[in-house]
Amino acid sequence: MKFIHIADVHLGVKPDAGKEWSEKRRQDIWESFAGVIRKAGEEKAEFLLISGDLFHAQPLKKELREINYLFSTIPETKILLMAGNHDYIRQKSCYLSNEWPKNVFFFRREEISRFDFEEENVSVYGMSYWRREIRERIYDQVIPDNKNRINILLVHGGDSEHIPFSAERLLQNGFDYVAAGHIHKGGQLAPERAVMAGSLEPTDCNDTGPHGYWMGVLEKGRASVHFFPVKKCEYCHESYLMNTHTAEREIYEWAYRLLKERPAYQYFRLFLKGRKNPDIAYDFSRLEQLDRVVDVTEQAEADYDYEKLSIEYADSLLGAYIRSLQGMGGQEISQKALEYGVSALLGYTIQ
Amino acid sequence: MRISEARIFSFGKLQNKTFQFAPGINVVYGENEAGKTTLHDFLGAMLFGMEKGRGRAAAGVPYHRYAPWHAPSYYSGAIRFFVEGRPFYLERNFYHKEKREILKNEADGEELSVACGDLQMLLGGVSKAAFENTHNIPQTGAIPGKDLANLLAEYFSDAAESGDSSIQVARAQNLLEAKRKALHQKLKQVKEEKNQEIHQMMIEKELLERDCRSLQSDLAEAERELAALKRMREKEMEEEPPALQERTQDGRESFKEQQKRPRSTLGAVLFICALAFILNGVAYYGFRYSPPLFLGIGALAALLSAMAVFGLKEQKRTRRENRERAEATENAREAESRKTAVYYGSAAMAQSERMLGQLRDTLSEKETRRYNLIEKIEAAKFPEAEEQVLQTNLKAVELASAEIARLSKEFYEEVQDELNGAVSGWVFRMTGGRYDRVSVTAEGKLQIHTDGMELPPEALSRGALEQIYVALRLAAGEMITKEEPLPVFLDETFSMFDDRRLEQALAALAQKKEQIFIFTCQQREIEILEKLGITYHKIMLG
Repeated sequence: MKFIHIADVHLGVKPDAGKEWSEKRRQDIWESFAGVIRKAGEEKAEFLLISGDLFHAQPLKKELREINYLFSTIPETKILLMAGNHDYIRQKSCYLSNEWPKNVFFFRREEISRFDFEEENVSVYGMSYWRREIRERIYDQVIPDNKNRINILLVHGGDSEHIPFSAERLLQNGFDYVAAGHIHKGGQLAPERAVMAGSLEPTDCNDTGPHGYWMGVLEKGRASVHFFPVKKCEYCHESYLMNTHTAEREIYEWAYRLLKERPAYQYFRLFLKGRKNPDIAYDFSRLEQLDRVVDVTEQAEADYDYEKLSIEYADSLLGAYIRSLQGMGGQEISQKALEYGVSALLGYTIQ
Repeated sequence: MRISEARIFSFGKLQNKTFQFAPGINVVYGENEAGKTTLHDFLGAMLFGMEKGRGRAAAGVPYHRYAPWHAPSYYSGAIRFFVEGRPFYLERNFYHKEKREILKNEADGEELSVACGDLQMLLGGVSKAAFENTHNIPQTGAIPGKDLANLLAEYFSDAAESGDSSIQVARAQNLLEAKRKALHQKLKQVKEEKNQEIHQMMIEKELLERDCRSLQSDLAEAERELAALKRMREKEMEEEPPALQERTQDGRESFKEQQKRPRSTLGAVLFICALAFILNGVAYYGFRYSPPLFLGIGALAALLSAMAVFGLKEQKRTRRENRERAEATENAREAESRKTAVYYGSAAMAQSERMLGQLRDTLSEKETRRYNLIEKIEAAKFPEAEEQVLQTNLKAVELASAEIARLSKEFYEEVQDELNGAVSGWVFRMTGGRYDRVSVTAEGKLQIHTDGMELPPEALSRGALEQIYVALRLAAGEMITKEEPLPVFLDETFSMFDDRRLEQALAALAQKKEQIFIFTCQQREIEILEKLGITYHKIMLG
């Protein structure tokens, strides 16, 4: 039995608000989803498993019309669908009034239910979110009724607010494949048998790494599943290591080269790390205006040798200040306060 | 440090002058305009340098006051002094274009460098500001207590050895404050942008809500309409038995025929009458010309006349019939209109239902959009990464500032007791025990205790206050110059002192091991020193 597994498409989301490519990304996400439907048709996949958060928010009727159409284009593929924590079923949810094409099997209840497919000898278990948060470990309790079937569990969650579960436990309970969603960074939770699909496309600039869909073959006691990336957008976090001599242009040229060398579907968050001269103010606005640069974050520490300073100024206020701040533990605030205070005591304008 | 000689090449009104100084008390006496303050400033400029300054603000600085009108390169002088028994020679050219310092150990001829801090080391690391706030005592020598407290905290916090004056509490606080302001500004901007965004969404939400409300009222109206239509239809169905429906069907057809028939009958009759009349006329006149033609026409006229008479009869009958039928038609028309209402009623109902469905869909779509918007607004209220970083940095600045204040206070408190002891000692000696105790709080507030009471500084006379400030400066100076005792300059300091207090003050000063310079335009100090039998060196100016 051939299947495709996706999750967290987040149709309707508009990432990178304020950036010129924001609207394009919104459309791309729709396109990627349509691409997966097309792929399911081409590959003659028998099942399409959608593990929640197909929509970023409550779906509109007109949006459901769009997916109804898409689903209707692959009548041979059985589509199993659930609502996740983003598109959870509200009182007046359009999910409830939608007339699904015949090949769509929507888990509309908030408790585990099952769809049986006699011909393929497949049972799919699942449920929908009816609220934004579910802390109960609902999935852990689910045990397939007929162990002779190929049992699939459609899940959405995995963190403390969204149905925590252990893939091992679910497999032990007798499932042949766990089709999970919710965590945007995908991966195999258990080799070939439990997969966190990850979002089809990144929905936020912190969803780094590749994104896409999973396709595999599932038989009783035998499974293989592979990841297929969608290369419309990939966010990369890149760091530049600064030193006390770093010039602004140096960083600009590094970023420029990076953008030139990397494929056009990659977008960047730039981080400036290392140590910098505390007396130099850098202006990164030009960097932020580069195409495909989401933002620039300066994290370089002022180049102070606190140990040396605290010995050198042992009897002075500066020494006492360094000792006092270091005694507060390495939290972000005291760390930053250490840098600010030392700069101020040494008479530097604080950058 | 003890200054033994001053050689002035050109400095204000003093040109090519050499002065010798003794250890202990030196009284520089001269009338007004004699150059006392000039000499005083010269000594200060020699020890700590003198900058030209920049811009308009620099107009009043000593550099301009003492710069020679001609030959600016001669704006210079030298002093000889001893530090720990070793003789030194220091020469400075103040002219900003030829700024130059020579510092020499006169015992071994070793050249030292002012630029490299050798002079500062000889001065025990005391900064110009520290010196000016302590050992340089002018008349009305009050300096704000806060400054003094800061100065002391800073000074004692300093590594005594390095004498690094770059660590300044006040400056650090200013820098931190500047940073705090910048962060605050940025945070405000970020928040404003976000508020703007939220505001935009709120407007959108309100518009949606307005739409929803009007849709709801449209919906309610449509529902009422539909209900009314339904009621009407039900009523019609009850009132109309099927038979009536059939009858009306007949009535409708006959009504249409009737409308046609009488009109055509009447027309034909009138036409025939007219024709018969004409033919009769023609027959009458035509008889005279052609009798056979008359006969034919006469026969035709007779026939037509007969037809006309029949036609008129027929017309009468039709009218009667019409009357009868009109009644039936009236009934039929009524039924017809009722029928039409029923017919259109069901169409209207279908349309109304369709409209209701559309309204419900639109409303549900808008409500979903509204709900999603509310969620988005809630999410937007949560501070973003940038805002969080700014908040963290702001807290860090505040922590740094508070910690520096706390530590400097701690440092100050360590020396506070010592300082207060010294101040009280000086006040006691200078006022003859008039006040028990004087102290400066960590906040820099002056506290005066006498007879078990605390007096606010405002309660003291100007003279008394001045004495206390002199005491404070001497005490602070003592602490600052522990490493290397520096000369004390008293420029007309005692003019507000009465004779008794002056006597007490001079007696107390005579105990000091530092070299003392008293600049005065009065004989009083000299007389009292003579009277008390205190050794002193007199320098006459003018």
